[in-house]
Amino acid sequence: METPRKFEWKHILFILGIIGPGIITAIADNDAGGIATYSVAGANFGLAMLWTLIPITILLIIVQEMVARLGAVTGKGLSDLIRENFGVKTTFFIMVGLLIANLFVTVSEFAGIAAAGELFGLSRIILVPFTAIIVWFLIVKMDYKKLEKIFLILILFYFAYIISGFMVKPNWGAVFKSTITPTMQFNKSFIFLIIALVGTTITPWMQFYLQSSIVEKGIRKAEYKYSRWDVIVGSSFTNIISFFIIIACAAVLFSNGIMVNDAIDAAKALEPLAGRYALYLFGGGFFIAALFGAFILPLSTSYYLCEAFGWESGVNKKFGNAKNFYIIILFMIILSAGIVLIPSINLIYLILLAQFINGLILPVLIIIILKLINDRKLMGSYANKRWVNMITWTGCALIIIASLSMLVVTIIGP
Amino acid sequence: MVHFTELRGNKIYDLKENCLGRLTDLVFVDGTKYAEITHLIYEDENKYKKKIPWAFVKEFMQDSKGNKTFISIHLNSPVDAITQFFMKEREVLVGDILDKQVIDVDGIKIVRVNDVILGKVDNKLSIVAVSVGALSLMRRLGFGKITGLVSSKIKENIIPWKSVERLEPEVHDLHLKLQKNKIADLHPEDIADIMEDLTHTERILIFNSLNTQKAAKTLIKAGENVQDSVLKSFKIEKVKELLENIPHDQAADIIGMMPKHKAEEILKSMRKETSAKIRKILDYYPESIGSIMKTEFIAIPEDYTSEKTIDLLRQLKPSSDKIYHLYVVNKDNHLVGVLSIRALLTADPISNVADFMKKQVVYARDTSTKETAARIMARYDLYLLPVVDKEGILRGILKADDVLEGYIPKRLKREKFVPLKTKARQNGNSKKV
Repeated sequence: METPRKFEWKHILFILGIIGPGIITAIADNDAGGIATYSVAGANFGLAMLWTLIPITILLIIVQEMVARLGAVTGKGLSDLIRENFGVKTTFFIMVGLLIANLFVTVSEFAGIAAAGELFGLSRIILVPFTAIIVWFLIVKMDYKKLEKIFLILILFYFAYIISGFMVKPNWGAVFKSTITPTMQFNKSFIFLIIALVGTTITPWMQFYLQSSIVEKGIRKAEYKYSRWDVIVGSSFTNIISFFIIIACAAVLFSNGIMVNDAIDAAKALEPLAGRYALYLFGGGFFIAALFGAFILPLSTSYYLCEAFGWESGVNKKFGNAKNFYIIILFMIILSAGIVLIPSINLIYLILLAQFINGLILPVLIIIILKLINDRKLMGSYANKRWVNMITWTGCALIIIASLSMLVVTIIGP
Repeated sequence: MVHFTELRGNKIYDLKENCLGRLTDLVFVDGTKYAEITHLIYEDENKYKKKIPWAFVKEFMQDSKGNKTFISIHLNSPVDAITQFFMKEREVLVGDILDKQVIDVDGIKIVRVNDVILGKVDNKLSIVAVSVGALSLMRRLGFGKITGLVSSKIKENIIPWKSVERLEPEVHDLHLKLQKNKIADLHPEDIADIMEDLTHTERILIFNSLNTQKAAKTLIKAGENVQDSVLKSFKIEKVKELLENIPHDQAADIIGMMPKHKAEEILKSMRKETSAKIRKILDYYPESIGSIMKTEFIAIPEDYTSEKTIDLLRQLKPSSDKIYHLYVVNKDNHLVGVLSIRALLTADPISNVADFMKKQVVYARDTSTKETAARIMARYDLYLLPVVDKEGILRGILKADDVLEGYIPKRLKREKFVPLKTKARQNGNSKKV
């Protein structure tokens, strides 16, 4: 038993200093694609999917906690560990797949930025290059601490969704009931959407980002217990946001029988029913979500590529020392912003391909994470306990089933 | 020479040709200059790992059957002498180096180890180098054959084991001894020095990993036995390319060492003007100035104005030692004067060089000995000396260090300067400025 400690402000500040990577990674998860999926879930199925958020949150916490632990104990990125423990072939398979998938997801973030901008009457020709420059500039100029502060400020904007959730005045009794009672509709689009929810919440790239940023922040074994809370708080918060998105869309759109295909549709549909502010809150929130994704995805990609090849990486490093790291980020930003600017391009196939690759890689990655976390040579006393493994394996099996189903669905279509 | 990843997984046979299992790893003792392989580890059919001293290996065959490299290991001892698998202190597995991070002295991550190259050093199998290039990566992915077909430009980038240091076993990172953060930045002298200790095959491997410029420079700096072994196994085309990239006098030195028919063959394959110049140098007695002088020099025609001369220099951008003294020739290429850079810069732009050049030029004959040249240079305190033939035609220039080289034994020259190691190797938490 630990002896109870005296309450000290210093202590609280110390814990707040650890907080960051877990929350940022979890929130980044609600990127353009995530918001779109939740909007569609709310608009097309009302409150029927609310209950899935609880198991999804638990699954997210299980995976993120392991990854954060790997980073804190080994002091290495996930890609480092894969290369050192699973050899070149496995690394290469994941590397190539994720490079393509991450690139297309980044494209979808920039597309989100463009679409959200147009909602406010901003031309994409100006907005997209401008955002791309800002993103690149901040990544190059800022060290990790400053960048983290920027991210944490961006996260505050996600409260827009919570506010809009309250603004539409939902029936709270019904909301509470739907949250705790699992309901299932046995039709293709319902099942597909549940799978998509899991797929958009638990992604391969976030594992790499989380572990690398834990390492870059310098969190070690001793501080790990606080990092665990970082992960738990972050994963819960991101799903609270998802919760309010579903509520808002369900209350306004579903009850009026309006079906939507993406987040922009949803924002537009909200305007006549819930007023201008709903449009601003929803559109603005979506813009921030896409912007956040545009930061994190190139970073994540560059982290894992550099780690795999053994190149210097990290936003704390000088440009000259970590050239490849910054060049990969630049390449990702320019290419994806460029693709978005191609007139009348249809991004749906790119995004489907990204989904497919992610669905293919996630099971492999989950198994690798489980193997690493159980490696006593690597983790020592921080390896999984047996009873923890029981929960973990079950959770991971669920994720693997979901992502494999996602594969099937992507191929045959919903 | 063999790559560790090609060796791994091969079958091991005992005295009676029974297959014992497959090779899983090799053991070496850390901290020695060349890490000699002391044991091999194999996995028997029951998945037990066992360790055998490398001395038991009778045969270690590597033959190319078709395109596939086939390796088999035969032992000269019965199985009962084989011990269980355990590791002593300071013993390290070769497999533990694989895929590990290479960092430089400042703690900056550079690359990962793609393969470990083993070779015979003093007739003992040892780690010669680690491979970090794209070629070794492709080979491990199973694309080795394909990349060979597609492009020969993909490099086998290697770091000699001598310049590698293992950090604490806990850390698992490798550590470069060199200050430079690029492997290719190894100085030709250092490479030449490393080559000295290697066997023939390893020399060729290292040589092939260098670009032509660097290879040529390394070849010059290398000892005669290294030059000999490299040149013998290279194709004419490659030698030619190398020789065209170094100063003619040094090319002549190297060609001079080759057997006559091979020298002739190379000279014939070269560009006419290059080979003509090299032939001329070869015609001199080895001890004469003509054999060591530089034949690339700048001669200023006497009817040039000062302005035109400066324009010419701007175009040619000669190295600083060549610009020190400029020699002036008449239309028949006879040496008529010398021009200091000071005189050139202070002269009236439209005046002819003939008007302000120094007409009393100290020079040497191409047939004179090095010693004569040394005496002249010492007496007149000269760094450069023009060399003329019997008709007074300017043929080359001689630098003080070319002459000096003749007076210092070759071995002494290569005593290399070892830079002090810096201590900063922790993580490289350098903050942005």
